[in-house]
Amino acid sequence: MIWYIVARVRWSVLVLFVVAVCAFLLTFVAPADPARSIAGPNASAEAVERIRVALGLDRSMLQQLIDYFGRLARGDLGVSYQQGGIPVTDLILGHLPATIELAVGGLAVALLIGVPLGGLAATRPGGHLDRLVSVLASVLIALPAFLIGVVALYLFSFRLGWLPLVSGPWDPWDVRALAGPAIVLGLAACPGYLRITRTAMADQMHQDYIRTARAKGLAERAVIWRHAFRNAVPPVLSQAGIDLGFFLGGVVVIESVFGWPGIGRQAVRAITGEDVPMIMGTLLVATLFIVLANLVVDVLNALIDPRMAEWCDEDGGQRA
Amino acid sequence: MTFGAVRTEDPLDAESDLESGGRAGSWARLRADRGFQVGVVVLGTLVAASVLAPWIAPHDPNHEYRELMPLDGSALPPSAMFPLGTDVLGRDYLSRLLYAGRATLAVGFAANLVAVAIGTLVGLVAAYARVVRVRAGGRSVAIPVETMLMRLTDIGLAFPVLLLAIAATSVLGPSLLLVTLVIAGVLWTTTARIVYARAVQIRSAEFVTASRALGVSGPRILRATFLPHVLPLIVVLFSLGIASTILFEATLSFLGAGAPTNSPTWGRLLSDHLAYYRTDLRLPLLPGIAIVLTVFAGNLIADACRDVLDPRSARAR
Repeated sequence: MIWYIVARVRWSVLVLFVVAVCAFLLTFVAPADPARSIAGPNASAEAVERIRVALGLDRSMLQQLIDYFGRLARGDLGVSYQQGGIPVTDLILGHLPATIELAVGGLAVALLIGVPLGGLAATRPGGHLDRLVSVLASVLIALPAFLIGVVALYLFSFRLGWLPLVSGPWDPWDVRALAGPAIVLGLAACPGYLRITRTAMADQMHQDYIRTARAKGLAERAVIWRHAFRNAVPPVLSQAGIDLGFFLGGVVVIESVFGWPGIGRQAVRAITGEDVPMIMGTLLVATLFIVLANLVVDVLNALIDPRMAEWCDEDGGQRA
Repeated sequence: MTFGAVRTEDPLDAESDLESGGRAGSWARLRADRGFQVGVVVLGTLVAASVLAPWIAPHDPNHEYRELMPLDGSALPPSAMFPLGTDVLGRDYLSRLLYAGRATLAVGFAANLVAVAIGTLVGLVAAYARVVRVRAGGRSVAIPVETMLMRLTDIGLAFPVLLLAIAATSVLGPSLLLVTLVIAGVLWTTTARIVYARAVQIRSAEFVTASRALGVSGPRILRATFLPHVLPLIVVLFSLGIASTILFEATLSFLGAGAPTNSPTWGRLLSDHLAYYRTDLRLPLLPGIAIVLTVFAGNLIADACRDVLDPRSARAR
């Protein structure tokens, strides 16, 4: 088992390394000249050159790559061009709490809708609820998340006035401001949970132990929730872990619709403003979350069910 | 939509296809499926309307009827002359929607085709080639093709694809071709994973060993032995992909990184008119409906294909 974890961590580090190199190469493709963007349009040629030397942009590409990894090791992602030389790390850390709140809230909504409905649908395949759930999943999958967001804004903020229309500075305790984006994120993400829970439950309902539980006279409710449901949970949790990783990297679309001050909206602003260090920083942080979430989910799954660790057999042989 | 993590489970049951033997009657069952009929009619109508746009559009989509516009700057409501009204610049909205449909469906189908083709190639080659020995400078060098290709796929799956796609389109400048390539470049990984998983099961089958023993060439084994077995899977992945590519393009457009303004897609029309949702809901709503109908129809067709090609899921219904 320990070898599985080691192999898995080694692999995660490799992925991060490749993404970091890709992000670095982006600076060479981008048309914007960093020294010029910092110096401003009216700066003299000498001033631009001074900044170029100060940033190390006059060195060879390989030397710059080494410098870049040296800075990464110290947690230094460079300074934002757009926002007056504020360190990118500070900007991302400053916007991260808002994204975390939205990610956790949205995931909670998706689980609260998806898991009970999906589970109930599986208990009577082909029943009314099952059909309703499958229609709901198909409709939600067909809707672009931003469309759900805009319709929600129109209905609940503009028409009904239930939710605040323009959110001011972020307040972690303002539940009304969180409700809109979290519910929309939850709706956009819940078809996956509806389907995964339904499939996992349906698989369990055909198992022998369910027949045994019924045969020994257990109430149907106990059969469904205490027996089948408990065994249907792992795939749902895996998906939740992976989704959480994706969301923490910035819920780009929904943050943009609702003006939610998280790292996703920050990234979109950076991209339109050609703020290259900010774009690179966000890409890296987002990948870090995805890779970490995958790592945690895989290791947890391997601890729960050691058969999952067979993954490392290709390079670990019998070591696991 | 492909909203959270990319899901890479096999949409078809693995053994069913190898065991059910022959797909005689698949087409008949598919045609009888109500979802499939509805999907084909809806998608067919949308495709036909888009393809025929130059002949059926009532007006030039770029002509601005300024002389007819009210002075307060609002758009014209539907009338006999403009069946779906105009936009705020006085352009016929129906014609714009029809032409936008061409761009949307072209990007959707092309990006999807490229993504599925790359994914299938990567998945099949990885599963079949495993380790390739190359003679270089008198020495034999082993290239672990399987590991390299599938690790590349894993890295692709770990990328925050939406951020990457906006960054790429905004750095390289918007064009329909670029958007198509970027979407294909980030969405092929799912197909590669699923096709690979299926091909790994096929490669240990006796008929593959037999072909190899007979000395059939590698490319020919891939084409004649592997491909027929993964074809149903590819059909399902392609039909599922229509929905995800169109949604992805719409999302890119919404974030300002999709199709250029001079050849708008539905996603672009929708995001361009989003600001009018309080005054004239029709403007953002119509392209939204077009997107939702296309995606819905694509999913209906995909579900029907999956049910027909996978006896187990059909029985479970």
